[in-house]
Amino acid sequence: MAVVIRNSIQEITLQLLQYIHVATAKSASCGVILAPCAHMNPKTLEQAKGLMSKNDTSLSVQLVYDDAIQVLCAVLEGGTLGGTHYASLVLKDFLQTQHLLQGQLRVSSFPESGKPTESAIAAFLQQAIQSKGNDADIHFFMTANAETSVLIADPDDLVREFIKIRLELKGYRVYEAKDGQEAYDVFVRLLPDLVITELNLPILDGYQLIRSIQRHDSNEGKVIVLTDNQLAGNRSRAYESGAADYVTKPLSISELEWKIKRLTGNH
Amino acid sequence: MYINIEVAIRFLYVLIVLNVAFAVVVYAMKIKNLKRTRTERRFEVKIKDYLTYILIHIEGKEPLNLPPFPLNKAEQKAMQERLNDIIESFTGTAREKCMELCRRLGLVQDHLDRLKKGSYSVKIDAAYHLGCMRVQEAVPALLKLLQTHKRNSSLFVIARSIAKCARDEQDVQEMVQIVLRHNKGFYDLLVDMIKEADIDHGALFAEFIQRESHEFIQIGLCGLKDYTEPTVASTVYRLIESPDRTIQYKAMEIYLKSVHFIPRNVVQKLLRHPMDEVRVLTVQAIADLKLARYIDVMRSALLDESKRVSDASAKGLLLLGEGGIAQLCEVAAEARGSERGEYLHMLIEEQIKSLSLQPHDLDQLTRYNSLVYHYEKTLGKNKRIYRVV
Repeated sequence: MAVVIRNSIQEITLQLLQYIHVATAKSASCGVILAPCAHMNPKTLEQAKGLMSKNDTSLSVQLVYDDAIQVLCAVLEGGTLGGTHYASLVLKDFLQTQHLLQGQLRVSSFPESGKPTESAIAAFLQQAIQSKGNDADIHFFMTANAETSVLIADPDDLVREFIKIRLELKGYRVYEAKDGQEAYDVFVRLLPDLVITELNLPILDGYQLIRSIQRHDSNEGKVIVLTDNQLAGNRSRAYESGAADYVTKPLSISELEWKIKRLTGNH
Repeated sequence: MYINIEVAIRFLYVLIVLNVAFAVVVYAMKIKNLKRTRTERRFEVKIKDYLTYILIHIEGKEPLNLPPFPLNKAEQKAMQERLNDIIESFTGTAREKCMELCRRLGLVQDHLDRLKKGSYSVKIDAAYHLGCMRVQEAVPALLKLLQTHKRNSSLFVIARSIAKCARDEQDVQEMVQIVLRHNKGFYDLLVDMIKEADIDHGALFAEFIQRESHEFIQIGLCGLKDYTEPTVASTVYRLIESPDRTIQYKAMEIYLKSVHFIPRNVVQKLLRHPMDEVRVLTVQAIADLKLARYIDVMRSALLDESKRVSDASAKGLLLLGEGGIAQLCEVAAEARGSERGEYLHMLIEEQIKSLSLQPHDLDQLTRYNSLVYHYEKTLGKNKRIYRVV
């Protein structure tokens, strides 16, 4: 007598992989959204599909729901990361109003987010399952492991959040600090490859932070100053303290990204 | 007596009623405020993901989509605040895409209408938001509002908004002209506002200093003080002879900071200037630019009537190489016995002491050796001072 054990995760992984391969063969990209949900029925599935298709008519949407693992998978043929992200906002709003969402939504777009291998999709699925019970935020899934780490020290929440999101999407591991002392503590504990700091920081200012970092680890090219202070004197003082580069606010993210790439050798 | 008590009781009743009425009003306001804060907080949770969406795709090729949920008035206000922050924090495509999103959200039209039809406070609020969103078509209405506005802090809110929205230099010039009518020296504040405009600031400041009006010249000079291009030096040179002392000094400061070479006739003219601040600046500029050909001028400045000039000149000569150091020691030896001579002597000895502590720096080491050599040679002290090799 043969005993067959049904492995839902493996089955859904293979099914997703097949969808992604078919979709990427037809068009340039394929977006995938995973959402941990309970009690999805064919009617709600149809409603969600209709809503997502209505919001972006260029996308061909397929929804798969697995009762065993309770994860809703949305495959968006032709979905870029931007399009898929927006579709996840629509899906989240729908699932929340129906009280079906049970955790974080995971968003990815292939090949933008990496190569869709079996292990990558399995990890993607695992993340969605493990997010059950957490706040219903939207998170991105990237197949590459972050090798370069960056610490951002800035009291401005918006700037910190923005740089963090952008760098995480580019495959960096990002740490945050709101003041100079916190930044120095994080630096000593985690030794990031690069520090991006504002000059006007509470407790320890930017110059003191740079000097402390240089004293702790004298490898050059560790710190980029990102500040709204545009005076030539401050610029020279920052370089004298040991800064490797100086970027002024208002911020141009492309300029900052290039400077980070140059200093970390992460091309 | 009886009548008085009755009146008093009635009066008390009136007071009680008024008290209750005011308490109700205060509580109603408080509840309204709390409700609004709660709505805003709830909305912040709701829009967190949408704002993340904006931040991620703010520089991409695709346009930003509108929120996938409807917004009521309070939510629209909270959204406006977030978008203002984003516009102020970024430049280039990011800023433009966000401004375009504001337009599609209907925020631009809404504030344009408020600017036209609202009450005074509504107009000021609309002016502020239109400035944040850089709405160029709002400039004529904003200029009109600025024209009739009295001098208070709101005047600057409108003026800054005009600078942010400015279509060209003309708009900024008009704004400056109106603000200057209030006849107060807001020069630095105006420069700060002008720098918010999307125009060639340097060219505008240069144009301002060509004018006859002292106020425009002052703004131009305040604006140019951080520029170090040689073209700026030639622009401000004319003002070095201005009859206004403040303008003259500011022009001199900019000239000496941006120039790469100072002709001899200019050096001589500046060192004859009655203000010792100007002479100090000149001597410092010669030293900073390492103009060794003016060692003779620096030597004469050592004996300037102002101690500040003499001190700056001595320190400057130390930076002009072997020749400068030799001249410094020579003058100190010649003036020995006089107050100035003793002062220079003391300054040289202090420098020797300070330089001897920096043997790791090649420049300082060379300076130290040279100073010690000339010190021994000219001032002929007996105690032996060793050279560091």
